[in-house]
Amino acid sequence: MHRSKSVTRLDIAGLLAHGSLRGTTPLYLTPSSATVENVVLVSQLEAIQRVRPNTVVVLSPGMGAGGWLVSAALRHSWERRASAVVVAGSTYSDAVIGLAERLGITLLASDDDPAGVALAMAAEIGAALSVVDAELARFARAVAKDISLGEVLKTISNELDGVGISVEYDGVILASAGIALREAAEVITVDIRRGNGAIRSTLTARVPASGVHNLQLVRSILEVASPSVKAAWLLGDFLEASRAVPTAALTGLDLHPGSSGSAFAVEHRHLLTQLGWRPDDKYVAMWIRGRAPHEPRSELTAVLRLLWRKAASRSPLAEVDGGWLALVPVQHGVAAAQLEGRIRTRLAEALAELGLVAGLSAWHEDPPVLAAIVREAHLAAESAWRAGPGTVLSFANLGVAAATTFIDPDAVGLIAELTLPRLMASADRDMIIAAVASFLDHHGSVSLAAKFLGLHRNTLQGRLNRARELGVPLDTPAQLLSVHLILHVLQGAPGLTTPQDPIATRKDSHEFPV
Amino acid sequence: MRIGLRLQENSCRSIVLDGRTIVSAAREIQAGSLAEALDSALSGLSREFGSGVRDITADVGHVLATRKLADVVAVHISPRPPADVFHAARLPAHVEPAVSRTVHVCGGHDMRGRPLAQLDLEAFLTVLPSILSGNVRNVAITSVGSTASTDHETRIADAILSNDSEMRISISSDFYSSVFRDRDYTTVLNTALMATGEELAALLDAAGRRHFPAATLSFARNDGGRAPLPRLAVAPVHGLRPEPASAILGAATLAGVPNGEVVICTDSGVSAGHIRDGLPAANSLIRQGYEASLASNAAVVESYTANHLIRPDVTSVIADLRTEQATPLPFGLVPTLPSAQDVALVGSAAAPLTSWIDRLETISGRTDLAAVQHRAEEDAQSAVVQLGANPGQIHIIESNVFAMPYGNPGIVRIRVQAAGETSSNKERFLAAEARCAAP
Amino acid sequence: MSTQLTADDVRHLRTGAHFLACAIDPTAIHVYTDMVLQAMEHQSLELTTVDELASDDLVVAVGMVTQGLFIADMPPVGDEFLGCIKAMEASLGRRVRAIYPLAAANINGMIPLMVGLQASLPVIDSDPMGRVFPLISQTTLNIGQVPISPIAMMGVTGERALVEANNPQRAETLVRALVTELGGWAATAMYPCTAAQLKEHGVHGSVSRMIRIGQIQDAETSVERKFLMLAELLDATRVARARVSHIEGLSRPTDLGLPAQPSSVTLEDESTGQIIRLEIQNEILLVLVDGAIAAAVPDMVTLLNSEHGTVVTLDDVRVGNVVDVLTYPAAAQWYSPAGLDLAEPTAFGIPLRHPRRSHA
Repeated sequence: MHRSKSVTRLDIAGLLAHGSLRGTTPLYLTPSSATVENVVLVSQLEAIQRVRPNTVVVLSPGMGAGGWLVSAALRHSWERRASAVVVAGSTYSDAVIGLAERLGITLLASDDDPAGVALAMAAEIGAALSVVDAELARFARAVAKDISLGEVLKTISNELDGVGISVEYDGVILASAGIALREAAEVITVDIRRGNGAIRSTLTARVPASGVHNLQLVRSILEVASPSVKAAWLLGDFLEASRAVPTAALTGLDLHPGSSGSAFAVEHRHLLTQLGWRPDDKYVAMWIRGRAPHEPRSELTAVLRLLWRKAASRSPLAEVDGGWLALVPVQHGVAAAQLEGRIRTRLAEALAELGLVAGLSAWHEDPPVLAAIVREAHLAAESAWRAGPGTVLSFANLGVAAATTFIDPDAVGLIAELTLPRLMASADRDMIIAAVASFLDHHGSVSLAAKFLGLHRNTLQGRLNRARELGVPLDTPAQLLSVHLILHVLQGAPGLTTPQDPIATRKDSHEFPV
Repeated sequence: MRIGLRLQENSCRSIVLDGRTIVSAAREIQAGSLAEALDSALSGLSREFGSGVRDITADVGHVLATRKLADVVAVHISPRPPADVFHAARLPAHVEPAVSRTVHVCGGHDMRGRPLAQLDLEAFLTVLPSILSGNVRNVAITSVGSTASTDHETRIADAILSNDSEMRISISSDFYSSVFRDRDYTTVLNTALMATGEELAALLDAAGRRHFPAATLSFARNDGGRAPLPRLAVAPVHGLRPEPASAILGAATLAGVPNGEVVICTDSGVSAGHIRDGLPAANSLIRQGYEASLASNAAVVESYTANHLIRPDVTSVIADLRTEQATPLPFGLVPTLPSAQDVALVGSAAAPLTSWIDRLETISGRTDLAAVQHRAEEDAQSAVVQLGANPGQIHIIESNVFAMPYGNPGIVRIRVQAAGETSSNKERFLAAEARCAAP
Repeated sequence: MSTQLTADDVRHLRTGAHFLACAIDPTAIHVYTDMVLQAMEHQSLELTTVDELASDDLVVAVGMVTQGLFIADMPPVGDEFLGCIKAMEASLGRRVRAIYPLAAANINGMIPLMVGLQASLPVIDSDPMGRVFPLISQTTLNIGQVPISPIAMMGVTGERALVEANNPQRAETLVRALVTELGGWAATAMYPCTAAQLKEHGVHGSVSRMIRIGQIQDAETSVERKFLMLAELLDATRVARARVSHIEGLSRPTDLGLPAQPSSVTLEDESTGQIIRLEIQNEILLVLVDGAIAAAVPDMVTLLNSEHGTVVTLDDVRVGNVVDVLTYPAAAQWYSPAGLDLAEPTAFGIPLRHPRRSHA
């Protein structure tokens, strides 16, 4: 339905022309017609100080007449941004009317009892409001019929002539309908969920700033729709949770390290079939890792389920110990790459906002052992964690470098302190570390290392000797791996070689020591 | 044509006006005595203009002001006489010596017209012989509350006149002021001037009859109008200060402006008045600092200041009467009249017959108010007719009702000014303009 | 401390008394001043502070109470106040030791001087109003619950009355009725009390204040300098320098000739565009600037001619005049809750609370 919502807006010009102010005489009219939302009949000046903006102030005849009274009433009304002042019609001097002009507030004189005018106006405002109420009631019925969240948002947007409507969590848009705006917009939000106190979910409308929409009405519509939004969201969440049970069940199945995939398949065939996993289907697993393993996450689950729909709407997202898991059926390698692209494009920013990362399993030509791909996805997510929130990482791109993601940098640092105390305490520590690390990176070649660092060979040699003096065991082959590891950790990139990131590191990189 | 005269002790200044045009510029005749100067002036004019002259109006203010005041017996009617000399009413210095004796009579009214005390006529009658036997021929009677009731004053006046009908008596209820001191002063001054007034009236009458037997003779009033000569013997105080009003009227007449502002620039300063419907806006009191005011209707004149409000919708007539006109006028004023006119003399010549009703009335409601006002307007009009005006040519210039302050419900002051012309004058110059201009 | 007043002091007092009551025609003040100056020629006039008196000395307020009559219309005989004091002394069985003005403004600021001269009594430099009020119940003594009775009254007729009423509002009503029948005004003596009571509840220095105001106003200095001195003496502010644009009277539209008792005067400040409105009921009760209250009774308002700095009497205001609107606070007692009950606009029939009340 595309009806403009400005029809119910009352203003002074309209009321004067054919409304309840018809019988009044304008003593002064402001050039632009003021909106009328309310009317108040006052019998004391102080009462004017409590009226809302856009109210018509009517002076009761019992207040008496007197230019001073009208002057003071004009002043109070002006301070409260009233739409107009109506006084009992007697003659008012130019002096009083001059004040209305100076303050810029409409002054009207009523020949009939002003109380009658006030009543008529109240009825008219009430009628306008009740038209609005009827519209809201119709809308409430319409939106209650919608089942899915998408349908609800669409209905809201249509009611507001295509205005952009969205469900947001902590600033992240989870679902939306209508036209997204580029230019300045009035943002109207209504809370719809109570999670922990600091972060909330909102139903938001973005109304063009220059538009005809009555913002109060927009808010009313959002408020009326919010139970439906909540219900649709909850229902969707509930349905998805039950669909996600088979996925969640996978994490409960052990994959013994070293056992082959076929043994797993044989062991659990019956259960998997019951859960609905078909042995010939190929899947890619995605694991979303949270900030801390035991953080309360149920509210995030509902949020993530909405987000997940943007990438792969049909695969349910299961809440599991340590994060969230989804298995997406993917028949081709190309589709797998597309899936990865889609996840990255549509979810990476939101994941970053929420402080999460995602890991994907590699795509396998043969139908994979499900537990194995789950584990791949898990490992990829762990690696992704080190790269920072918002990272989406596929196991296929990881390679052996994944191993270093499991290193606890704090523990390594402690070991460094204990085993290489003199190195740690020395003033030129960082320089020495860089020298030794580069040396080890380059297979023990002083020339290559020196070139890499931009130093003279002799200088580098000198630093290596210094390292030896400080107790770094450079000449014990069995310890070199550990030393190399320690130095890389100390250099700051946790568990990773410098200066490249793991996605770019390939399995056959020659930087790894043989 | 009309002649305006200004008399001084040994000179007579004259001007002749036809409509709004000066046909004979102001000229001054000096002589050994006023009578001679007057006679000389009029005979010269008569030769020139003869029977074309209809009206002659004389400003006698200077003569009245300079002649010695006659001795006066002042009669004060109040519940009790002053307890000490400090509480006795003090008259301005130039009048005080004229009062040879003050007599107190018990009586007086409040604002509602109710007597505060019974008039002690018997006591007065015992004193009366001593008043009459002295050689004082002038009596001034002022009573507390005379604006509300004339009763006690008229009874004392009657008592005097029934014993000696030649006494000249002035009573304060003939003059309107709420201040006892003002009424006392005006009444005393009026009666002290009566003899002079009579003399001047006789002088003018004789000279006028000799040279202009067909013309009517009047004296210029403080409000810018004129009154027939016989009135000069009865209410001379109204001819004491006509010049400011005449100047306003004269300037307006020359400019042909019946409604507007009139600014007069003289050597002593710049002043402003207003002309409305052909006559100067008037006040009922001539203020003299904080001394007693003269209770006579006179033009309202204010000094022109830098803050003077300039109203674009109001016509301004600006007259430069300075002796030296080489320098520009102050305040950026630019004269609108050709210079060196004796505008006051023109005003005297152009003056219409005027009369005032100014009294308190008690009313009970709006309809009552309308009736009372209407009655006052009729009284004012008939008063002007009595002065000689043609009933068809009378206008009400001012008609206002004022509530009395500080809670006197039902008592109002009604003030009406009426003006008219004799039938020999076709139209009043400025009234004609006003009628054409009025929608 | 007591001082002898000079003729100059009396002239300055005349100016000050008018300054504090610009809504009232000052002719009566001038007439009275002339009488006082004349009487002073042979007698000394003493102004004393309330401290000078013994704390249980009997002191009494003297003043004229008018009902619609200018005092100048019915000049006093001269023995009215002496009659009141005698009646008071007879009623209380004690001699009056000193007198004080019923109101140290307008003619009642000058009258005690004459009475003092006639009765050979010192005049106390204190009063129970500090300004003009229309009702005799509007006094700081009433706030302090000092009894108003007995009230001695005497008219120009020589008739005399003693009114005894506990309630000051009733006393006011009875006195008014008598004043009307006595011809429109009566001399009165009321609020008999001890010097200690006056010291506790009165407004002090109010007579010398009138003299001081008169000294400033009568001086031969510039208008700005006078204003600065007045601002310091009275804590005065200039609300606006504005041109009178409209006058509403109690009666039919005003004429160029005669004034009506104005009930409201509107001014426009040509430099700021502000619209100033004065609301008047015999006194200036309210000053509104663009509809907002700038001053309200008991705050005091005086109009000054902007060119000469002289007081503009309300009756003389004309459309087009440029006028300085000056406002200054009344005595502190008037801003207490009890004081505001007696003196804020509500007490005059204007349903507005005084702005200082909301802070109380």
